[in-house]
Amino acid sequence: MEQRSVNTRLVWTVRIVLLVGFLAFWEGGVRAGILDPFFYSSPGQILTRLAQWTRDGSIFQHIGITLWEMMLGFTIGTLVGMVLGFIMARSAYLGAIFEPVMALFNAIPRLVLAPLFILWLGLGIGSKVVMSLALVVFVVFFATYTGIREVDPALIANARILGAGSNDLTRHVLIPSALSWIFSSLRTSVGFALIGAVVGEYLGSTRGVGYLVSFAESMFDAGGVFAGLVVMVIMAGGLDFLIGRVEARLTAWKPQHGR
Amino acid sequence: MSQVQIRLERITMRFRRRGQEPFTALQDVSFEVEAGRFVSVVGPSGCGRSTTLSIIAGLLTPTSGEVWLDGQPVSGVQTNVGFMFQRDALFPWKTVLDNVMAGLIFRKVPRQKARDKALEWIRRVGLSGFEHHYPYQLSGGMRKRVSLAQTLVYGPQTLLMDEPFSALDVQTRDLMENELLALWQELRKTVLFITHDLEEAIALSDEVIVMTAAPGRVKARYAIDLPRPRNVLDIRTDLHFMQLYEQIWADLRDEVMASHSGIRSTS
Repeated sequence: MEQRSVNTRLVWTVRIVLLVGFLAFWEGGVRAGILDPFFYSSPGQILTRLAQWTRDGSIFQHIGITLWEMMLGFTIGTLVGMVLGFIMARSAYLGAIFEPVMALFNAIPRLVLAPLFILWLGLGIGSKVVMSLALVVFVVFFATYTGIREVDPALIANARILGAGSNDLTRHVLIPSALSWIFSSLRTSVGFALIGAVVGEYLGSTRGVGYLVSFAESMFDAGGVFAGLVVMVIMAGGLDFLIGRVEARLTAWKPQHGR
Repeated sequence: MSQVQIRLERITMRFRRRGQEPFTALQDVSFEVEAGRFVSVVGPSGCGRSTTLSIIAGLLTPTSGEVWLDGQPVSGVQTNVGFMFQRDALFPWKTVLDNVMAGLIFRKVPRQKARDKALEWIRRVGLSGFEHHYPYQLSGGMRKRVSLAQTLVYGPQTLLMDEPFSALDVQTRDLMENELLALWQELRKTVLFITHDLEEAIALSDEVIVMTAAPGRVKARYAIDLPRPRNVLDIRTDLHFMQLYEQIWADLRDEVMASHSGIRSTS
């Protein structure tokens, strides 16, 4: 295979130059009167808003509550997805009956369900957790389902001849195989968990990062909306970094591609 | 005095295929393997050699006929055999050590004891220092050694080997064959070895069974009376080896041709 090496320092330099250039263009455009700050805000304004939120400490509460909703949604969604996936993959009938149903549900843009969840569960944390869970559960379900269905038959045969009972088979072959698929969809499912929580907050709540954005929007405060977005980007970046670390540990047995 | 370790009685295997004629992989296959013997089965591809092994191991149930292993009728998956697969069947998420230990852990052997035995076998197949590597970090030959250790660690009396070395390069293959012979010489297991390579079959075995093109039947059996211990590299230039080769190849050739033309030989 051809390996093209990339100069990391060059990549970072270009990235930073592009970012700084973009921000300078934005700020300059606003100052020169070309861009209307009412609609487009400005990097300075966003920074001021972020500093203000940090100073009064409110932002940490909002981040905390969003992370909490997201974690609950992710955990419950993952567990439910794994159990459903496992049961359906192991039972030919249940699989045949419900797999298309799951695929159909998965095709629904679940974000439009958010108003329903808020209607049913109120403005509190519950509706956000369910929103987040509803997104995660399908990702994990399909990962588990495929992971178990796609186990190499030779592996199963080998395990059985080596003396594996049905519990051993589950523990030493089926679950590790499913986990490898779940891990590889970890980025997607964690991302979905965050989206679910934020969208839920955005549509109706009194706390959380999504609420910050929706509140700023209702005040026609473009700077606040952008500041909220910046917070989300930082959260997503941080989570992505963490997942990368976790992934590297959990999939040590896999050949590393381009890492 | 020697007892029969594997006995097949009129095994027929028919596979039903959706929308097609059922496919007969094996037709009335009967043979015996005496304990402690190294027997190879050769035949054209698709003659049901692998199917035969799977049936002996209880992974497949024959359409008709009976299999006896160590005096017991085979029903269900047999755990008193060792099976080496053609493809890699190591657990990719387990280290070499955990892979070799697996059979013992499944047999409820205490962990410390299983570990000690596994380490001993890893040493015997020459993989000391690789205990904590994952399969993807090993070469094809090394993975085969792990498979061998994984199979031998729980001491099965019968080894069923399904073209175990066919995916290896020639040099590695010669090496593995010699090591297998050395181990066999020492352990005296009963080995049933499937291969498409007649040279390999003769070099390793006490007996070679030739199967016909599909539906597979036993066409002929040849005793290989070459002296042991053998070296698979040297033995190929032995005059008697070449005579045996020509003799068996004459038989096998017809079947290979038949399987290629898709027409059953009428012999």
